[in-house]
Amino acid sequence: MRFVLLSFFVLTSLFANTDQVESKKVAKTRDTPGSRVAKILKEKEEKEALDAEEEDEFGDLDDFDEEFAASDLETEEVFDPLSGYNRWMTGVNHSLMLNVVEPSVTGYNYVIPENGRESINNFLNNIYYPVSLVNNVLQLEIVDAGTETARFLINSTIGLLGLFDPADAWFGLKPQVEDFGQTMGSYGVGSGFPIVLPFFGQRNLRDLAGNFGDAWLDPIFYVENRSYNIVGEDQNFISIGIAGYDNFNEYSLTPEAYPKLTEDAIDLYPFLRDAYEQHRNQLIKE
Amino acid sequence: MHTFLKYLLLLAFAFVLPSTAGEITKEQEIKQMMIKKSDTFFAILADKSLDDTVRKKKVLDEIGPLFDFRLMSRLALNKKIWKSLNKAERKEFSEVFVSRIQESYLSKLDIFADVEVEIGDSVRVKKNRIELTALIKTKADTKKLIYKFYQTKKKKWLIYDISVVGVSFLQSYRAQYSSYLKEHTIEELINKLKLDPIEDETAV
Repeated sequence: MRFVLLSFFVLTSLFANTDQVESKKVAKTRDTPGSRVAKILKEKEEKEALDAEEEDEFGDLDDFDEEFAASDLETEEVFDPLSGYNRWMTGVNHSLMLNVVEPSVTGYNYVIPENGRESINNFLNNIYYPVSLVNNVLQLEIVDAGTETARFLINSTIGLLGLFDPADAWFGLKPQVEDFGQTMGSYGVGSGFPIVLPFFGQRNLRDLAGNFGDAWLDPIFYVENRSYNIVGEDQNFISIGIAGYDNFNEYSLTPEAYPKLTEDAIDLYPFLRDAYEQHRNQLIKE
Repeated sequence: MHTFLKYLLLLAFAFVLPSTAGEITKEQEIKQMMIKKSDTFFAILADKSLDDTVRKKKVLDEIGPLFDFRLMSRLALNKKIWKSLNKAERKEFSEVFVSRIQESYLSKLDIFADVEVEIGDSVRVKKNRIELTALIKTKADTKKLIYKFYQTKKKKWLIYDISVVGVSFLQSYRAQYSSYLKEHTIEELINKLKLDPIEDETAV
């Protein structure tokens, strides 16, 4: 018995030693400066061969990279002093959208038929006319200002106070919506830094200032205060409520879009921030 | 001499006209092809006899060959990041990215159920680039979509990016990934992309 135990002990220690020797060998191989250099050179060669293969497959890749260079730089150097708050508010809004707005929209869509919601959307878009008109004129987009005027006249009359959009359906006059944020952008005002508003979502400093400018022209900010208004005496509450309802109603027409578009973002805040900036830059360019 | 010149001109026109009058430009060819593809796409969506899996497969078989997915995976990362990856990492990232965008696209097919698509202008913006505009009419508004085509070395025209209301699909991925990779490794990004997006509760 003693012999068996002794043999077992000797064999175990022998194997253990072999393992140690092996691992020491591997470590020694890894640590050799020559082998490290050889490895780096091999990796470099491999990458060069891979780059050549890719160039061969896709053509001039630098040409593609240049296409994205300006936007890459913008992303890299984004000035975002409120990033902590913005990220938090994006999370709050996202949760609000999925847990409050989404179920409410389901109920709302059940109560109000789609045609009704489309007409509400048309009506609210139609009364935005003064804002679009002034901003088109400020940007010297005279043809677009004319188109917006024609749309307003047609939709307010034939379109029954804007409930329908015959200007587009019958006359092919597409909306030329402009706001003060776009006007400032077209005159070279930079976007400032990103700000996420509760419920209303992503903005930047320029566009937020633009929203205040537009409020002076937007009819929904001139709603008369009446004693039966349940929200109280302050007219701004009513106006902000209508603006919120406008967003809610528009959302109800394509309710599947928001959850579907955001579900595969790996990091929601930078995704929305970047998408917002790209979209606004495009609107300013047009 | 005068008559001779007239005949010469007529002769020149006789050679030039047939070759230009009947010729269809690459821009027009792409536009026609996309109109057909769009019709086929909506026919597949409208076919109630298909179950969900078959419908997705049919859509992918029809639309997939229009895209250069491998190039898209290369462009989803900026040059600096891409060059820092070794062969295995590049291969794995490409595979995971392609599979993810295909899944993501197929999971959004129901968005198209209620929209109308109008294929618009096809413009050559560079020698080897064509941009095709499409208008997506939803119940709420009309959105502008741009398909960006490039000419491959084998002279095929494939889509490498799509822009919706000015938001480039690839740029959005580039921005997200480069921001994520500032604090994480490529292995972590690949693992994150492997997760089912619907189950990914840590997105915010």
